[in-house]
Amino acid sequence: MHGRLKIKTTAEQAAEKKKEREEKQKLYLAGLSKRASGTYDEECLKTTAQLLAANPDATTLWNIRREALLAGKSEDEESWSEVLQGELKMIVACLGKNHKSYGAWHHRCWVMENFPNPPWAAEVKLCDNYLKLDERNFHCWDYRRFVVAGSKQQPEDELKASQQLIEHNLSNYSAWHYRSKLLPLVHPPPATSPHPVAEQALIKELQMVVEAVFTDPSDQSPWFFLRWLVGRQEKGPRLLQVGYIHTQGEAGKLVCVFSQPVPQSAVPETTVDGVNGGAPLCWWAPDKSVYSRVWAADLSLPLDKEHSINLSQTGQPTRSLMVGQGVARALEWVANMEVCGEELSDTTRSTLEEVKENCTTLDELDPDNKWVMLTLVHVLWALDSRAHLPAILHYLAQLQTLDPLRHNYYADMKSKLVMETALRKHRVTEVDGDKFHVCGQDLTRVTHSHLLATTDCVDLSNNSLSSISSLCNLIACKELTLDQNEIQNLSPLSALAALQHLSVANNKIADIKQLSCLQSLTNLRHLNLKNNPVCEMEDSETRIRELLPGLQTLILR
Amino acid sequence: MAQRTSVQRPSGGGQGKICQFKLVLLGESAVGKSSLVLRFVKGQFHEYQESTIGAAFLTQTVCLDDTTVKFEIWDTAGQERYHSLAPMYYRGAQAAIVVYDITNQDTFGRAKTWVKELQRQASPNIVIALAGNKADLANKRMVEYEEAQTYAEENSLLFMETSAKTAMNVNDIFLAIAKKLPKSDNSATGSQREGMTLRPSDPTPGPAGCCK
Amino acid sequence: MDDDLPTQYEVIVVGTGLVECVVAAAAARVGKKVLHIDKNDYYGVQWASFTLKGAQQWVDEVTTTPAPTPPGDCELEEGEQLVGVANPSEDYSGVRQTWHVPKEPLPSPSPEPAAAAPVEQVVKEEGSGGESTQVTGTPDTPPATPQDTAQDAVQAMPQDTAQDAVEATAQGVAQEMPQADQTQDSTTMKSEKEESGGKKEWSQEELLNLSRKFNLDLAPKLLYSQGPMVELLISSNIARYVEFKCISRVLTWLGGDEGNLLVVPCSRSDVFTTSAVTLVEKRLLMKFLEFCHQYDRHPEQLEEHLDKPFVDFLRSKKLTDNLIHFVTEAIGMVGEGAGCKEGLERTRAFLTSLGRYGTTPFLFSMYGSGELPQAFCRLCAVFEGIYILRKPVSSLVVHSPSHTCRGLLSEGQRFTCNHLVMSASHAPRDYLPRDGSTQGVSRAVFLTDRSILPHEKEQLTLLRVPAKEGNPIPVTVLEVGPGTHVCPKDLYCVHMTCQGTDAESDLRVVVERLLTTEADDTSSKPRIVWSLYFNQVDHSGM
Repeated sequence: MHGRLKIKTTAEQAAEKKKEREEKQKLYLAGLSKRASGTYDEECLKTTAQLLAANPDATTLWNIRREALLAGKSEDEESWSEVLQGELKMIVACLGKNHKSYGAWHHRCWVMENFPNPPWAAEVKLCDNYLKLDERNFHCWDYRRFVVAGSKQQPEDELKASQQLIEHNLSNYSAWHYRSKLLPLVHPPPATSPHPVAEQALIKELQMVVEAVFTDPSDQSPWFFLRWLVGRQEKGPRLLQVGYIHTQGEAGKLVCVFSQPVPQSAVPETTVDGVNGGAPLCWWAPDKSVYSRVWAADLSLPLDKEHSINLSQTGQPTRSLMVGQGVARALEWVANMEVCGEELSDTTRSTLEEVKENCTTLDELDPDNKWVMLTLVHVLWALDSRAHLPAILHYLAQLQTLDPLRHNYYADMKSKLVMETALRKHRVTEVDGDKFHVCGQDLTRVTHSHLLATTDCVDLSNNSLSSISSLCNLIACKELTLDQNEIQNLSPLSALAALQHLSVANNKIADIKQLSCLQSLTNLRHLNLKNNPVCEMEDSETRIRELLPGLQTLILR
Repeated sequence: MAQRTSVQRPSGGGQGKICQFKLVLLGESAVGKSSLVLRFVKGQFHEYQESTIGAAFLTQTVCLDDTTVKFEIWDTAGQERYHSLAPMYYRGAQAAIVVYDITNQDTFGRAKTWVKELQRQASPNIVIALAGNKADLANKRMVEYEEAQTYAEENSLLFMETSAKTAMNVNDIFLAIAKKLPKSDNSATGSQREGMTLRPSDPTPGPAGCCK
Repeated sequence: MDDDLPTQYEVIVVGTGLVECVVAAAAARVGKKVLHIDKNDYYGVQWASFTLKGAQQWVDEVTTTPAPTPPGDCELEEGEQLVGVANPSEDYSGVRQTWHVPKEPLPSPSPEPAAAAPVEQVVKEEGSGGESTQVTGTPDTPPATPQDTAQDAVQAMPQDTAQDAVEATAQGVAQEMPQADQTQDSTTMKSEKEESGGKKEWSQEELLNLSRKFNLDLAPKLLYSQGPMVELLISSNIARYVEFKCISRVLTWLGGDEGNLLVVPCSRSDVFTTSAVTLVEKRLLMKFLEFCHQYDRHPEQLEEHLDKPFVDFLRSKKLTDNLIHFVTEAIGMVGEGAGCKEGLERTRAFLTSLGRYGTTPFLFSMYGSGELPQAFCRLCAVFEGIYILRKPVSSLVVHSPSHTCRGLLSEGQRFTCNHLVMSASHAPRDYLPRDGSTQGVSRAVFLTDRSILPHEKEQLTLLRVPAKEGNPIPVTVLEVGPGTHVCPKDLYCVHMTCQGTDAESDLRVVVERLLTTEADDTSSKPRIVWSLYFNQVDHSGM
């Protein structure tokens, strides 16, 4: 009375709860027994409906319900549709209890799939409503994609819907992400374009997202979208390089390098001296994985006469390598490649310049905003990493202090940049011998190692490397210098069959077992282990020599 | 609604859509408005119900085939006593029960006035039910059943004689109203209201409220 | 009529104005025996919302000098005396209602284009109220009978509130007829509009037939979503009696007479989507708003500014002139002359309420602000407060030696109470301070045929026209539409309020900038269909 709530005593409440629970338990058991006996009647539907309304997460009950529905399915489309309509309403009631119930959303998909004429339009509206309730309800987002796919809902309309959600709340990460999936459908870029969307749309989207980051630069959602927008799409794996490297005697290796990891089946068809008979080539990946950027095959060719190797890919011109008569190495860079992608088009360049200007302004207005800096790093990198190298390094250093939790992430970014810059330089000066070195640059990891697959001599001394797993790609390397790093584990080097000189002075190799992986390197003659903990061991020299009898030089002190 | 298929969705169990409606009670003092509500909502009856202690705001649900109808019941809170009922009372009401006392002819006359008033004041689609209460006192009857029924038919009203004391027709009259109410499919929220109702649970914007 | 009406109360509240209703509800809620009376046949006194006909009766009421109420007579104890009360209507002056449309609907499409433009027929009901002269209207009354019948209809339904209408029907007046007419009219209206495809041409007759679709506020009230009134409504459970809509946009006027209306970006989402500010301004504005939201956490940034003008502080934050206008005139609503502390405080009040129920901080009650007093009354009634409308007070019973009020006299009956609550408007004039601490408020209500800034969806608009560039006084404009049930479809209701003592002259600049009375105005301004100006004494500063 008087609109005042009557508060029940706790004892009363508890009793009621208990009764309720017992009731439910009884129902649940009844449901299970029906399943066991295969009696799928109306009673079964009623029971599961009651139970699910209280607990929509009970998967088994949903399963029983589906079985019961199918058992009672009528041949008449109209009445079957009516039953399914009833299910849709029943699910809404369940979603009222928990709008993030896996079971309920899954059942809804099942119902829609079973409809003779699914009422798609109403479902789009339903999604609108639930997303209004909770804009990050990923169950509903998933269901929305399901509905959109089923209903042939125009992606244009969906794009509009995502815009409204973003305008309402620019922190809606899901809506931005959805947008990034829709835009390429609505505004597909030309086949050759490095952009994710057609230029017109790109410019409009950039304008919108820049307004978002100016409104709230501390929110990460628009920044992720911005980065997606200015990022360039890898256009599928490309063959970058083919080569033949002679190692010793008649032994040699054929090498294919790709821009992205590919399976072995992607390796071109190869003929040697016009025949593909003889022993078939056996391609292997240095890290033994199924997908790899580097594929190699052992191929022994007597070097006293000339050999021609042809590699052909469907739809691509045949690549030829001439080996022999004094030529021990034959390399061809297939793609006219920049280390990190293609040359920039004018539009991309001006677009990026504009983003750069905006971010610079924002950096002045809101100093110490990590998202601004991070975006600047990406944009400057894309524009011209060499010209902007000092600026990029400056921002990365600032980011490391501002965002210490991600210190290593920024260090890795810096390493990548250093590697890219060095590789570009390396490519230009390649003619005079094949030496690659990045020393004293604080590298924390080695990126782009596949571009060093045919390199003779690599020096990465005086960095901060602890993991060298990517060095397994250096299959042609004869001389490897890794002094002054933090390496503990040498096992990635076990596949570098060509290695003759290895220098790992001033590292953290502590265990003699670490050296056993070098046993497979039959060409290894010189090993520098100076200033590693392992050298302090008693009998270290004897034991290492026992382990690696082929060594000519062993430096321990 | 006829059962058309062998596997019908079961009724009850809180499933299907939920529709919420505002229902107002009207009628002279002491005809038993509050008693009807009390009987309907709590199943109680008090012989000496204090006058005008209106159940100001009670809710009760009625289950139809596939719809749960939730009544938000407004009693007059006694403001009708001195002809001072606030117009706010009618706002947005989708249903009304006009109550009279079958042992008192005057209250029937007043009931007719209330019906006219509703037709003028309330929304045009309002569902009106006429309840001749205190049917347990049939021996003191002053308003004939037929008279009221004829009047109800002429004015397209639902009509029942009820007794809050014996519970006769109390649930039935609410159920009849529930059946007659238009149930829109806008079931995500279940509310038929146009505006917002402020609630204690409403979010209070945090320190960054201005920004979200 | 009510022999059983008790005559002894702990609290008697006179008048159903908003404040009185809050007090009545509070008293009843803590168990006091409350009698709440009002001499009018409607709730709200100066907070009432009227139907269109109700508004006309109100005009009549406040422009007619009432016969002085006889003080009444009853047995008095020693030391007691009767003290007359004031008539709240005396607070109003300069009341002027004007129609800007013809009385009757125009005959369907006329061949003469000149006839398409409605002849302006102004029914003047002028009066400055109170003791001053009463100018009776000089309408050029046409002999046409339809006008007379319309007039009669008004007479036949003299009271618009629920109860009285019931009484009117009880007296056997055929009420179903106007109802039927109304339905018919509204359907014809619709088809006419569809045919012409243009704007609807209204007539007084049509509007009066739709009278009940109006809820015209005498004093429109916006609530801060996070303000004390909203907290009170929620905590007292009164909120469930009222439905609200959030003001959907805040506008500002930029420039002088040739200026224009702009949507003020106030929420983060507004700032994101607006094109009224540049990219860099977006950042500056957001930064400032974020700062302002918790400005007292940064005393070091404020120290040197607190006693200086707000504008100087804004400049120090590098806000552009454009942004300064938005912040001072539309968000803080303080004007450019305000001090820093006031500006920050007001801006924060705005921001704190933002985002709770919508993208602006303000709530407006559906069916008009008159719902608020009614809602408090309902709570009072639920807790056994007794309500009687049309119950005038003849005089107060005051015990002179103890300076206490012992009750009052109404319609020859004496009611006693421990406490008597009444507003300054009702209070005996002798009881009010004589230092002239009252101020005046100039108000106007317009019915227009379109929004001041049309939008695809119906908007609830708050606009504050700053006191600069030709406008002498800051004017607050509230525009609400049929979605809030304050007027019928195809109309808007515009309220204007400012401080002042002459509504028509105080508001003239703003009215001319925003609205027009010309039917064939080539500009896109909304056309005024009906207007009501009045001045009101504001006792709130007492």
